[in-house]
Amino acid sequence: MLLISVLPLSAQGTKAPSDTRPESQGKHAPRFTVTFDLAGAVMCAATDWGQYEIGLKARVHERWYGALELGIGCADATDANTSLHYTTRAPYGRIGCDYNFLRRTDTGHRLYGGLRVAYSPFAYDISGPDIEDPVWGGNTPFQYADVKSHALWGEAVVGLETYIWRFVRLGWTVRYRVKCSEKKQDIGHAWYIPGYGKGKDHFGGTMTIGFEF
Amino acid sequence: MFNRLTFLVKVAVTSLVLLCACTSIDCPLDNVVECTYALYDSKSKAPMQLADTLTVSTVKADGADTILLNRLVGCRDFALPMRHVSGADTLLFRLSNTWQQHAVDTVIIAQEAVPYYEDLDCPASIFHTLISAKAISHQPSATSPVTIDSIIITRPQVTYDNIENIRIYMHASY
Repeated sequence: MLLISVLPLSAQGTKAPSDTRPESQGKHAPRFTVTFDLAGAVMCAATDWGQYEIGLKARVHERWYGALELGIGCADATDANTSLHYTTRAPYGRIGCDYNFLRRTDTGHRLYGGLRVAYSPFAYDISGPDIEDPVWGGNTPFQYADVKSHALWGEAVVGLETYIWRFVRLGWTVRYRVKCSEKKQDIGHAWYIPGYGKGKDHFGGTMTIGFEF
Repeated sequence: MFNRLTFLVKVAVTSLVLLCACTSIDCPLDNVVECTYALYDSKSKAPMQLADTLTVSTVKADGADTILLNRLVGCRDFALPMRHVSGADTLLFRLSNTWQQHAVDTVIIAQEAVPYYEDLDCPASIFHTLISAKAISHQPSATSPVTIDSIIITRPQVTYDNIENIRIYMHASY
């Protein structure tokens, strides 16, 4: 499925498009792109978790780009079966680089791979029904607020970018994430880590709109 | 322009499928938290099979007795629940044999109870950290020749894992 999406761009990347390509390309190509993660914002507004993220990508060489991504991750989830409720809202940051694999770099399209190092200091609240002791009797409350943690992780990124109108770009990435460290509290691992996603997941992605200058 | 839009639609659909296609529930299949006890011979220090019948009971918060393990025969190890409140669990080990002899030893386990959640999909439970363990044994006599010699903690963390937490050395005077 990934290949299905990649192949059309590779085909496009081998020939210069004739339509909305910006006037300045090639060695005069824009050096900076500011991006906003559309998918993360939609997820944050409509689902249990997501993130508001902006990124800055700088062209440092013909095929090499430096990347800085900053955001706020948010989660507000309640499981229907267990009634466990998890909330957090905290910042995160990523820094890394991308390499454009397309043979022609003057088309404005990019098919790139990259690496990121990311970190988030965060605190979360978790609560749920009291835990009943079936033998001795009695209940133990399960209410924890401001549980502090932090996580450091790495990401391998594969992404696509193209122009949709003049200096406006649309991009898409798939990311494989590996945690390097996470501060685990006695009550368990964090269910959601800002910028990482659900703590047990490895895959994630973004869909960005970018403005190049 | 049309090719580009087609491409972008493919990208959008693909990314949505990739992001949303996989979901799983990672709750452990064995989600019962129990402390695992193993029986050893006090002389040879080797695992042993108890010939006597073992019944373990305790006293609930309301003062009533409750049986945790009922007439287990030929056991090498067993698992018992722990109290959800930090403190000392007092367990009464009743050893009986086919000659109608019986005696009661008392085991006191000091533990710290720690609430724990694995995932939002999984109900929260109570893990325990064992602090100390001691046994008050009866004198081996005509009432019952088998008694608890000593008791040690081998793994303080009591979790979903059914791994030996406490080692009980038994002594038989016959």
